[in-house]
Order: sequence, then C-alpha cells, then structure tokens
Amino acid sequence: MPDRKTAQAAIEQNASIFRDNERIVGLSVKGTGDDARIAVHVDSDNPENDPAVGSIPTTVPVQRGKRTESVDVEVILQGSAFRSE
Amino acid sequence: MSARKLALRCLEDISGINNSVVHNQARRLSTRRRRASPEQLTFSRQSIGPSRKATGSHEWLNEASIQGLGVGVKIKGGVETSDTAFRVYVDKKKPLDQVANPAPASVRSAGGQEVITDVVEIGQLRPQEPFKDRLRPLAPGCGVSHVKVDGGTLACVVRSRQPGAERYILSNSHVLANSGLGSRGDVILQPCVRDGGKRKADKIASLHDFVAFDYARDGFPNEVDAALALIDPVVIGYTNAIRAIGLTPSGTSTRLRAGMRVQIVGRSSGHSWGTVEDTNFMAIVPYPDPANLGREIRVAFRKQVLCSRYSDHGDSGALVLSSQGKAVGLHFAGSDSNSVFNRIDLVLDAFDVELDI
Repeated sequence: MPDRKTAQAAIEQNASIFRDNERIVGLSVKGTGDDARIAVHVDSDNPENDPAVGSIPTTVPVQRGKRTESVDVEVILQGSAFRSE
Repeated sequence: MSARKLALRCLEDISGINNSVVHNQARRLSTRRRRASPEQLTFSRQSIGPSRKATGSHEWLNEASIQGLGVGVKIKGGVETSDTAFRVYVDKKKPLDQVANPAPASVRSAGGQEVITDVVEIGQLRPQEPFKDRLRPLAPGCGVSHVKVDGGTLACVVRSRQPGAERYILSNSHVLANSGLGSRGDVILQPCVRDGGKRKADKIASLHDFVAFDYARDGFPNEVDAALALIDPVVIGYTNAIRAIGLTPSGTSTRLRAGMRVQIVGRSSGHSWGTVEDTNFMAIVPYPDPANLGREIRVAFRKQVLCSRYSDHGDSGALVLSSQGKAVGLHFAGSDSNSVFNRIDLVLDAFDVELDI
C-alpha cells in the first residue's frame, strides 16, 4: 500500500490527468502510513451525474524505481471553485 | 413537546418569525392583563431582585443591553445544567436594580407553556466593517491595490536582505501587479480602488516586482502569488504593527501542521481565524488570461496551505500569522468553504526580502 510520499509522487506523475479536468480545483494527500490516497477536490453542481467528475480515475499508477504501484483517488466536493480574493 | 422545541417556539413567537402567533398572543395577553395577576401574564417574576412588572408586551426587548435571543442549556454558576432555556444575550450583565426593563425569569409560548430564561453575557455585537478607510501611517491589514485592480490587503512592509534603505509593501500579484499584467512603476493606491482610492491623492507606492505566473498546462509550476511595491518613505509613513490587533510579527515560521490555528487581518474580514487542513495542497485558481484579455486561465500552484475558511473577497494579500504571532503565509485564494495561502518562506525567498522588524 502507498505511503504519503508515494501518493504525492502519484499526483506529480499524473498531473496532466488532473490538470485537464476542469472540475478539479485542488489536490492533496489524505491518510497516513500505508493508507495514503489522493484527494481530488472538485467543484460541480451535480457531481453524481457530471461526466467530468465521473471521468476521474479511482486509482492512478505511480512509478517507484522499477516498481509500479497503484494509488487510490478520493473525490472531495469542494462546493465552489477557488478564486483569487 | 420537548423543552427545546418549546423554547424554539417561544423564540419564534417573540422574534416575530411567527407573526400571527405573536399578534394573537398579544391580543390574548392584553385581554388577560385586565383580569389576571402579573405572575399569570406572559412573563413570571424572577425569584430574586426587585419586583418586575409583567407587562404582557415585550418591552424588555427594548433594553439597550440586549444583543440577541436564542435557545440553549441553562448555565448556573458557570456550570451547564440539564434545563433548556430561552437565552437572552446581553453585552454585559448588570445587577437587576440597574436595569430598567429586565428580562423576565421565564417566558411562555402561545400555548401558555413556560420556559425559563437565561441571561448570557457576550459583549457588544457590531457589524464587521471592512477596513476601507485611508490609513496613515500604512499598516498591515489595510486595503491596497494597483490602479487597475479592485482591491486587496497590504500584508506587511519588507526590506531587501541586501544592504539598502528601500522599503516595500508586500501583497499578491493579483492585488499589486494586476495578476502580472502591470508594469514596473505602476501606481499603487491606499485606500484601494474599490474603496475610492484616487490616483493623485492616494498613491502610496509604485509597483517594483512580481513573480510572473507560469501558465503551463502540465504540472503545478507556481508557488506564490506575490508582488512588491516600493514605498516612498519621504511621503508615506509605515508601521508593521498589524491594525486591529496591534501586533508586530515576531518573525517568520515554516512550521505548519494540520490542525494549527492561523489568523489574518484583512481588508474585508478584519481579524479572522482559521485552521490548517492540509500543508501540501495543490490549488488550481483562475486568473485573467494575458493572451486573451477578458478571459480566464487556470493557474496551478504547488506547496500551498489549505485552511478552513477565514477570508473573503478583498482579503487577498493579508499576512497569515500563527497563534504565536509569527508570519507563516500570504493569503491569496478562497472558496465558499476554504482559504488558501502561500508559504511565507517561498514568498520572501522569491524576492530575497525579509520582514522589516
């Protein structure tokens, strides 16, 4: 199971997947020890029926040396987009 | 009906949410008043203190000390009891003989059921006025902006780590540099444009430097939304004592952890607190697109700090402080539920500056 560093590396290695999704407004790592996962913060009025939210993968691969691991992705409804204030 | 529901019903009746009940109640009470003893009217007397006439009306609500009404547990001698009470919030508790219209010891619902009251001291409530005034000397927390920007907040005064007499105000790029669309020398105003700042009368500084955004569509290349403006010390006095709290930052700190409390003084929110939720947050925030004026482009940041919401529009640029008064960040973005700040070390390193303390 991935630790937080692995989950962080997974965000960076899969940045394009997350950056291309207009509903994603932020990313963080949740969980501790071997239970780390990627938290994807989304802004959507109707997340359950939103294809953009639906297209967010439930796991992403991460390369650690020669090994490939898998990191879980958890969707968090942010409620609204971030804006400069 | 539970005691809490009964108390809430009383609250609705008295606050006028249920106007028809209040109206009917008042009518019934005025009828009763002619034939019933005061104790049988809407409010019963408290067992202590001078006699208080039960009026059948809500005259006691006009007492200047009352700040609000609510429902909660009865607190006796500083200890919560098991009783539900109709709460009367006052700015300051006073002896009964010094109150012209004291709150009654109990109130009755329209149905005649009685609920005890509890007078709770909460200080005086005031509207949270944003800091939109003209402030000299300049101080962290006041409103500031580039001439083409609505407004934001002055974080603090900084100086170069290299020898030099110049002093700069620190805030966000989207406050002082029009999100990177401004040019060196552009006029910076205090008060900000939104608060009526004028180019000739309110110029306090000129844009000196900003960190240009990297608009790359891959990765999270940005770390700060920050800019500096050069103060003319001959014209403008300044201090680093943060307005409203009077505290001068005691230094900077990079020690951040989830759960720690942070505070700002912002142009819109005044003094406000939040809690750190994530110390390695990657944020994607829309900014004006320099290649397509009038449109926005998503700018991605790494190494950000996500907090519970402590800010509002106009607080951008506010210095974020730990509860011990150390500068930990530069506020720049928020959503309906959260606020986000840049780490202070990344901001200061970007310009090779330090706090002027």
